[in-house]
Amino acid sequence: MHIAEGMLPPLHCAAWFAASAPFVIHGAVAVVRSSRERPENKLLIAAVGAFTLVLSALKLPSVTGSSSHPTGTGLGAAVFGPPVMALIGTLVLLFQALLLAHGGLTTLGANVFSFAVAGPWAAYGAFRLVRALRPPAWLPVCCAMFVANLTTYLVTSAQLALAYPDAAGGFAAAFAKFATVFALTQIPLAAAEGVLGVLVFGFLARAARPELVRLGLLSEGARV
Amino acid sequence: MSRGRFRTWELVTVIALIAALVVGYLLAVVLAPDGATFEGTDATVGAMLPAEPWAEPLFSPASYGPEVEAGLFAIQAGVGGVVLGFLLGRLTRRVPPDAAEE
Repeated sequence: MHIAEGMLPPLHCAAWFAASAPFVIHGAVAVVRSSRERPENKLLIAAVGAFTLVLSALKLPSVTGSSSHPTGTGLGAAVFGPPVMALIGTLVLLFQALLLAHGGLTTLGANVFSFAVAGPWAAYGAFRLVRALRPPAWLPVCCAMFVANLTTYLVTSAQLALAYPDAAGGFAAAFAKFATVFALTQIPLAAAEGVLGVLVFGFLARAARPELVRLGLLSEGARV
Repeated sequence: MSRGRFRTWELVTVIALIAALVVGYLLAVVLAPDGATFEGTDATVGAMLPAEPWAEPLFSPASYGPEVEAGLFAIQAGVGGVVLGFLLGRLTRRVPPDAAEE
């Protein structure tokens, strides 16, 4: 989902910066407020941030013969809500753009929007929706991770299709072309990310149960 | 605070999930088409774009060779893993409030 440096037209870069900035500022305020009101949340916020850093650095092979990486933003979105992940995701992308040339500074706004805004918000929506059905505690997290991953890549496809519409089929044809390349590789990885999310959430349910209970993600006696 | 030991079925589930991830990883490698290079989808899509970049990265590790780039990715994962492990360790070792009061 990392659109490389200089690959979006300058106008698009500016527009995506403008679209992402309010979410990131809101996210920064949310992190500061959460840390001040509940200092014990700091460890958990840092943990979901480190989890995103690890997962977004893993290039995993897929049966299609290509490789891609998970996003890891779904877990933090489920635990703390999407605003927190807007800031964490931005920091991860900035790190990768500056030190790994993965993504870029000019495309940072677009990458932030797909990775740190759209993915986490879609994950949060899926989390709330599945949770309303009262399934086992692990299932909403699994769905959130899966949806965050796929949404990130679908939004990237849309961003590229907007910048480079197909000469004959326009936006729709270009979107289908890019999304097909991503989806074939990404669907198995998204499923694997969902499974990994369940494992990590199961661990957090033991190690950080008070925080998760306070955040309304677990009931006192619930086992994951 | 409930920090009971793992029940047998929970341990079996965790081990089965980890095994599924490892098997899935191996299957992806084995079932991939012959001659697959496992190039990143970001690069694949980037090559499809009908445009040249109008800006260059400030620092491009690929210019020092693929090993340097792969190494930096590994360092990122390693740093994240160490930090995550440290934080999870801190979370696990906290004294439960009810135990601290006793």
